[in-house]
Amino acid sequence: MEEQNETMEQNIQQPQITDKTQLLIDNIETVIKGKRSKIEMIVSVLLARGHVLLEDNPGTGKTLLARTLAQSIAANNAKGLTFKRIQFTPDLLPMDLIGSHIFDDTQKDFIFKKGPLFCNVLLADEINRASPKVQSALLESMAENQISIGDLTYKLQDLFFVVATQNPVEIEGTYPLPEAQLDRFFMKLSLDYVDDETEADIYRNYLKINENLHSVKQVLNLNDILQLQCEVDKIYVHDEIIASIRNIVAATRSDTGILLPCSTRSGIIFIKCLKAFALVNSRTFVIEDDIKTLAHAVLHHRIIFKNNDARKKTLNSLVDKEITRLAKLKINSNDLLVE
Amino acid sequence: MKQDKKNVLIKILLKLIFLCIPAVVATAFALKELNEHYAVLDNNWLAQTCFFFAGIFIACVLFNSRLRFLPVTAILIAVLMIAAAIISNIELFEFDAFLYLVRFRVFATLFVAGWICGWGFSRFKNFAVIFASIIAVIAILITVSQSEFSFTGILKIFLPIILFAVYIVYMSAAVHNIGALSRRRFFIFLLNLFGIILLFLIMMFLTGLLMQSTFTEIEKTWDNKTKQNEYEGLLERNSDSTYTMTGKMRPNPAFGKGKDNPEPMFVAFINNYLDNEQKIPNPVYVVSHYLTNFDTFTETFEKDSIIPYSDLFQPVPSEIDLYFSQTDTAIMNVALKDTLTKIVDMDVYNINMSPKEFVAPITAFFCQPVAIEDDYKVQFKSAYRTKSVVSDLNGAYFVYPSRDELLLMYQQQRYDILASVENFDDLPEIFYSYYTNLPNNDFIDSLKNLTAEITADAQTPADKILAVRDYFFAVDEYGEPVFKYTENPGIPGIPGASKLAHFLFESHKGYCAHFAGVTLFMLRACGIPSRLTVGFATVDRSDKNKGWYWFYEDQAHAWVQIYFPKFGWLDFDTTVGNDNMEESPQPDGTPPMQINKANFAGAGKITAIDTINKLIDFALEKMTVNDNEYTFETPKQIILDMTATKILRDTANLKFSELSDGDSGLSLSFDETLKDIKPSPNMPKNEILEMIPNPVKIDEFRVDTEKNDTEEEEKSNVDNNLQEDETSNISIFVLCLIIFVAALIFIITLPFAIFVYYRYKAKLKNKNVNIFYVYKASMFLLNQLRCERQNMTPLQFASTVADKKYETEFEKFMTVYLQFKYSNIEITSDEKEFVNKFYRNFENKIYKKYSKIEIIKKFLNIKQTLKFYTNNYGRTK
Repeated sequence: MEEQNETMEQNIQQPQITDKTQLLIDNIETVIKGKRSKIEMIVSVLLARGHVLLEDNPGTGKTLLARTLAQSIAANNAKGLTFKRIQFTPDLLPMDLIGSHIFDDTQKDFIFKKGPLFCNVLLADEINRASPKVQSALLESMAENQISIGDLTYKLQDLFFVVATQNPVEIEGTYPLPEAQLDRFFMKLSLDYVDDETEADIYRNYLKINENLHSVKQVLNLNDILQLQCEVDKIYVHDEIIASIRNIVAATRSDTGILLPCSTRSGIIFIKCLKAFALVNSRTFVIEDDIKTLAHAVLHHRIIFKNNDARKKTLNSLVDKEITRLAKLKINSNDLLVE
Repeated sequence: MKQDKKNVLIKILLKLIFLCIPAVVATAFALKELNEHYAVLDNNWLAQTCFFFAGIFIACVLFNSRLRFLPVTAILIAVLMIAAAIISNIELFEFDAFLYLVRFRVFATLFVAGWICGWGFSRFKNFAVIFASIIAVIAILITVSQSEFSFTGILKIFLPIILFAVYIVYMSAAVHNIGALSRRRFFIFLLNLFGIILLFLIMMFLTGLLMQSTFTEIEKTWDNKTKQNEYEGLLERNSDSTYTMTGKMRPNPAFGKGKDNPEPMFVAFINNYLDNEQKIPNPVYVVSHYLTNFDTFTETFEKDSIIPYSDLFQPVPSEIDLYFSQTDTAIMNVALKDTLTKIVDMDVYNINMSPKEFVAPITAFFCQPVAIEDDYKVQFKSAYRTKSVVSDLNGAYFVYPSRDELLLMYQQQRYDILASVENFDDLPEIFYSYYTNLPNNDFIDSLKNLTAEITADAQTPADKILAVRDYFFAVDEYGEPVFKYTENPGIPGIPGASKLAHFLFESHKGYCAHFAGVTLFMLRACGIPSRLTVGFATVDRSDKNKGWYWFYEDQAHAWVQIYFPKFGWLDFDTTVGNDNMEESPQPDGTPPMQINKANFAGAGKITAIDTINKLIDFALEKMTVNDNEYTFETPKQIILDMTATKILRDTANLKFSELSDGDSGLSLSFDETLKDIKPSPNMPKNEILEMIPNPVKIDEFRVDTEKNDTEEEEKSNVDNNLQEDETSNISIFVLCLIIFVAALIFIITLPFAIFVYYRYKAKLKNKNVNIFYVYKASMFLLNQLRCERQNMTPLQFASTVADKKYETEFEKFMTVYLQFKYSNIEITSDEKEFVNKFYRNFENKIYKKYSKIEIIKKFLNIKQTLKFYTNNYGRTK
């Protein structure tokens, strides 16, 4: 009976949660057209307490997306979340990120001037343009959720979400992130070009979109996000789904086309993302579709492949294999009694 | 990982079922045909097929994993070669080893061939093309060695091969390309077919080049339809290298060259003398059977299925118990009515004749197989005694004009007697017309004219016969014989013309078939009842052993028999002297001891043994006393005196002490005193038994081998198998057909069966719906309608493919199903209601889109069903 009550509660709560995530996504979609699935993924990462890396050609809407997302949940006032944007350049220094101690004349003492990292949503634009020193400073703060300067340790905000972008072209004079550091990002997404119809639609309505961009509303506040993040932890993951993730991770280790396979951390992150994605899709449980949709975004950038061919095919075929296994699987095969 | 293994297994299974097994079947047929034409193969096609199958099976299973072909095959060949070397080094029995080596080589070759085929089928898509071409080449070889070219014959061989080629190429492409685009597959299929035709032509050309000599030989005999086997038409070589007489004879352009070393067929002692005091041997011809049927088109003399007056006695010696006999009293009684007859015994020792074959002088009525003395067992295979009613007037000497005064005298005597026969009016009409029947054609008409010319002066039948004989033995003005014996009479200029006419009117050269055939028609033209006989000409070669005759391969002969009222059938041979026959080698072996006539033979069981006096109580079931046979319904007890008895089991000598109660056996007595017991025909059995001394002295006791029942059963099984050899072809064919039909039905009904099973398990009519099977059934139905899930997730599939196409609520169902599958949330009753109703609506909507015939057609597509269970990850979508 208790269980039933719980499920009842969940069923009641669910619409509200769904409303919130849907609200957020719809809000972003007023500006970013035809990329709902990507938006869903980015929101999933947000809810999974992770960070996301967007990689694509210039002009595909990376920065716009990140900004819109940030504006939807952040406002530069006391109640809202803080949103900061840093354009990474080769001469950027770690201090420019984390801040520095400066001498305060009035107090006659060094005080800590907080850098842009002390915010809720950070857009790190063109992350590969900065020197490794800066990159690692950012990545460390992402991993630890805190900043250490000298003896002092400064805690970052409870909600700290980094949206980094990078450019795959013009790599001259850049510092590409090594795989070990890419690992910090829950997902690496490429936005791709929109389909023809959407593109035409964008051209037709560019004025309105521009208007929307300037008047993006804040639809969720900090508490909403934190509540959603807690909700993610309650999502039910079936043992067979877990088995499938284990299988995929294990398969990357035995595949001959893969040099660096997935780690256990990858698996954990995968499950976190799956849970969040299920919530974003208004479900309280994970299904195989989630695996199929997220596998590439979550796992692909963590693996070093032997060659281009393997880069294109291996992961997909491993995932397809597991999807087929799950699709044929007979779980919970009791009869349904209709009253 | 598991999925991977399962997939590999399915692929192996597919290849085995759809490629390897048809290939093995095709090979089996090819081997069967090859066996008929090549002696090396030893007529064991079933075992050979098994070897091939073993090879193909193992290779197919092995090479579907990542084994390398070259090293594995190298190891295999090395092992086989080592085994061959070991076998050839066994020095136990030289010839045995050689035979085993030959057999092993056949095995090894076939196994490796199968191995390579298995490898090819499992690794290469296009191997089927090569395989089909090889089979086609074998077909060419078979047709070439068959040498009987007829359109239907060629069609019979090539049509199945073409069908097989199409099948195997298509199947190979299908099995290797599950999941690939069908249009492309069809293109590949066409390409392969074209490849087959090309390869086939190349191989035809190559075989044509290689086998040019064979072809030219066949061309030479293109209208003669003859095999190049020696003595075709008279003797036939069996698979166990024994010979039997064929039931056919035709005047071929070539009789086959006389072998340099003709093989000895059998040795016989014929108890027939011209004069019993002087013991001048009178060699009578040995008859195998009569050819009373004539096929005018091919000029073939054949055995008639109905032999009039049941005057041919044809027992199978190997099927009669030793020392027991088979007698045809009807023949004996008819023959004994004739005057001037006597009973002639013949003892036959088989060398190369089949043990089933029975030969005896004219009008045989008795056959009794006997044991061979131990010393001669190597030389002779079997022996039997025969009895025939032979006329005093019969004999090889009477045939040819002779210079021997004594023989001339006998010939004159014979003529005098036969001249008393003036006509055949007393003969029954059916008999007379049967034996004077002539075909109607131009040749017979001109033959009739010629015969009338020759016999113009002759009055009695005997005169006419002599006139015919003299016609064939006539000499021209230079003293050269007009008719000559040749084994290569050649062919008439016009193809298809009568060879007999060519012989009689043009070439005057021929062999026994020509002489006998023409003589038969001439005699019949004179109204003399006569028939054609095949058997052996008896040639007296040895002066030392009177009455003993050796019969060689080249003595197989055909001649005519003439019926004289009151005197019966008489041999009449017009074949002019055959030099070869007289030049046959002098026999070097000495004849075996004359067969011991068992005066008493009794079969039964030992009931008690007296070891001190060496006496045995014997329950007699069957006995022969001086060639008279008696069977007792209830066994009679007699006492056997075993003091001087040789006890045998098979070939081994036993001691008296080794006998035990219950042993059954055959007791034989060669005691001379028993010879005087002459039972009269109607004497009761018990009286005869009383005439036999009690205890009776036994000279030989043959114990039946132990494990009687099982062994006999086995033997009879083997015999049955041998007998069924001819029918087994049909039964194998029927079996293949049944298997094929069963497989076909299985394949056709499989998709339906699976679908019905899923629907049943879904319990649609119940209130308890099983959602898993609803899901399975709907997915299967969609798959069968070519709406495949491919690499999509079920939900994706439902929303993007299925619902778009059929506008069902499949996506909604799928969400419910997935919730049921993966979540911990209970399904609400609304959802249950929905699931319960969903499937029927789903099916209805889908059925609306197609006609019934379309759906049935789609369900017949087994490939689609296979796709449901196999997946090709990473393949093109």
